[in-house]
Amino acid sequence: MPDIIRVQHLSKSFKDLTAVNDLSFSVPQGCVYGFLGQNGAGKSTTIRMLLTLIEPSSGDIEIFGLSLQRHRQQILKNTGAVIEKPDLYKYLSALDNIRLFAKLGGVHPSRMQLMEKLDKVGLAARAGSKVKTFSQGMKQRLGIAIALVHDPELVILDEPVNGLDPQGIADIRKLIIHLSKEEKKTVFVSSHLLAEMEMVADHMLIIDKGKKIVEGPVKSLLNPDKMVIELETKDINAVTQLIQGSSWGDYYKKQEEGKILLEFGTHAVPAFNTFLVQQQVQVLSLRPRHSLEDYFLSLTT
Amino acid sequence: MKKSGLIIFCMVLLYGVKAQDAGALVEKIKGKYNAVKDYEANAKMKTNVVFIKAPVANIKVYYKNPDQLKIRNESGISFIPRGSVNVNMGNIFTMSHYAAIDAGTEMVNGRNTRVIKILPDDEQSDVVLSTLYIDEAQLLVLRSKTTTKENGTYELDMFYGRYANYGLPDKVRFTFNTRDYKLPKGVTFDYDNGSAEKESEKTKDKKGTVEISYSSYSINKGIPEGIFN
Amino acid sequence: MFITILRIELFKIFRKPRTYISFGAIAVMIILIQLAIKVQGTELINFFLGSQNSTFDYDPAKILNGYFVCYFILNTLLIHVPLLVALIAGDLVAGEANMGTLRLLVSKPVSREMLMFSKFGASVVYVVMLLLWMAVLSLFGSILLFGTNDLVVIKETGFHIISSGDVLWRFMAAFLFATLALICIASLAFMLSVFAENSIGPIVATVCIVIVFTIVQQLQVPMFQEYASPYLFTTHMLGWKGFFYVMATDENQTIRGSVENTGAILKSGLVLTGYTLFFLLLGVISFKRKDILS
Repeated sequence: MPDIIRVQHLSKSFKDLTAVNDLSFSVPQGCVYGFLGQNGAGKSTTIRMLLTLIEPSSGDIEIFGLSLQRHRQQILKNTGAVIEKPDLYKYLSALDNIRLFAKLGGVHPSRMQLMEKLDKVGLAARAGSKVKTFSQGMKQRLGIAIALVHDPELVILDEPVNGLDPQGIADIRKLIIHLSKEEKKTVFVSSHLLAEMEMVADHMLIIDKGKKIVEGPVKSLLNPDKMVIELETKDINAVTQLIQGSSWGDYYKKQEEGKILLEFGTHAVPAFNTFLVQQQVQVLSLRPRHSLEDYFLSLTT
Repeated sequence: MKKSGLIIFCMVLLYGVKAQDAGALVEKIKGKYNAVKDYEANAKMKTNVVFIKAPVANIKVYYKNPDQLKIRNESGISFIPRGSVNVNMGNIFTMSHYAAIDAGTEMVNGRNTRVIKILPDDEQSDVVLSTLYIDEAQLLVLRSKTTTKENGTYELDMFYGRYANYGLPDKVRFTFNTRDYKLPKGVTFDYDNGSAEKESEKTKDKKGTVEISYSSYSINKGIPEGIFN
Repeated sequence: MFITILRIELFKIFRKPRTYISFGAIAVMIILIQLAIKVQGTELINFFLGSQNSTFDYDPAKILNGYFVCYFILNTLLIHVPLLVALIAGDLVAGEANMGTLRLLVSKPVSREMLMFSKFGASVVYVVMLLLWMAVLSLFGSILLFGTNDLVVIKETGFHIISSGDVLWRFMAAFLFATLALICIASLAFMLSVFAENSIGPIVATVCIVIVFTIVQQLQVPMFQEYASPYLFTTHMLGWKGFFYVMATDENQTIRGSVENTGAILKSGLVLTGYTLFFLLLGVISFKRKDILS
């Protein structure tokens, strides 16, 4: 499959800060591409460079096989984006907002078509309401409707689930999968939540301090044989000693915030549980952890 | 006042011989001028005052014997000199008690004239001294210089034509004293187009003139009430 | 495309409540001045002409006609209108940065230059509408209230009387010139707007610059007058008055249809146009190179 985005040796420095450092990656057509990194890792700077909001210090960006620098308009015509918070014209209605950005995107849909787009994100009933009366989730949905109004081939979503309630998060998740699987769009989605990305992304790029950590298919990156398991118990030091003295000692990682962290495959959790019961350990909780920090932890060991 | 009184006294002595002549001449002219009881005239007025730029104004002049005169700009705006009541000889020729002193002859606008000084006897009179330059043959005043208590000195040049029989001029040039015009800086927020300095230079000249060219007189036909209020 | 974006920008401007503050403020100010002149106009005339009261006979009621009132309103108001223009023009870019819509706007398939020229074009339309509104209220409103007659233009060192039939075109020309002057202000606010992340900064900065320049120009310090005033755009903004300074004959008779110094007005117009282009291009070029971080 051809690459929709190809980034080579991309760097961006602001005065004394290097936000993005020699970053290269490729996004295959039709996939959901998870762009992961902690806050301040350089995700937003990279996305802004993809959308020509920020001029790269060095490096090349190609989208749809065209140089972004030389074919900016042609590329942006086929790209839809929600960048960070979905800020819109608060004093205008949802319908006015979407119509305005559709025109800027070079399309002139009818009122009916616009209402359909709003209906897709569940906002048809509020089409005439001013955006300042909208909740964060509604704004996010309107932002996505606006990103999709000109039917772009590439959709870039920057932290789309930030500030949403669980239902909102589930809705966005469904929408991303729908865009990719049904509408065959390429979705480039950034997040700092590994678990969230694991659920939607086919490919994944993880960056830290502006540099690439890993890139590749999610399945090959998230190895179920290497999970961080978190154990919460009453007498943490005694239990740590117990574990270290047993055959489970090889899997012990460290203590963190009153919890014991171990690393092994999820299939071994029942056996470990049996061990704890046999040793009469008072277990408060036992569960696999799924954060970017843990992933970094697993990468570095 | 005492000094001027003394000078006048000396002049009276000097020209005493001719005084009768002068008095008689003035009385003759007075008779001619007093034949006009009233008039209403149409005229064009040109104002020439250094700090005023104004268009030529179409005016109406109303006069009623003995000494009422009013200049009105019926349509537009004019700044009419307060002393303009003197553009008519009425206030001179309606004096009943005055001394007329012969002051010789002088050329005025190319014509030989008798110069006669008029001194009102009336203490209340606004006029202190008036000098008349008279064309004896036609019994017309060609020029007058009047000094008043209130409004300074005025000069009047008269040019006669169609209405000379009534002693009414076709054209009058009235010269009067002006006061400085200057507003504090920053009040009007003027735009500097380079002409400001020229203008302030000119305001040092303190004389203004008004030139009235009469196109028609309507004589002794009565004047509507209230014009002079 | 330019027209499409221009229309979008105008749509945004005229959907914003603050836009109407300007129109409301102008209406209130004009009506207040008209009311004040209606009540106490004679005192105003005496203030300006009182020193001539003993020399000349004039009719204050005639001087206080619609043309005079309009000229007086323009004199008073055109000093304050830059604030109202800055209110909109200073918000054009900074307001979007503050609201967070700028990043979405710039990621649309429209060149940044096109976006900026459209925004500036919208502010020009706003200025024109503001002045039309002002013209209707101050000129036609005053004519309705006070009638027409000759216009007495009062200057520091004298006054010009312009025949009533020779006035209207001067107001039209003056309004056109004022449009140019206010577009210059708009371009300044617009340029400053590029560098700010919220609109208060450029609005306040524009107003401060206008105030400081006006003070420098009014201080009458010889050094300022020689080296600063001729180059300040505020000096040339008064050029609209040039249309009311009429030429006269050697005997001080005004010449119908004449203007005292057309060259000076032309020069002021060119200076303002120069400043406008400078501010506009500086704004556009800076925006072109700017990283959008808002």
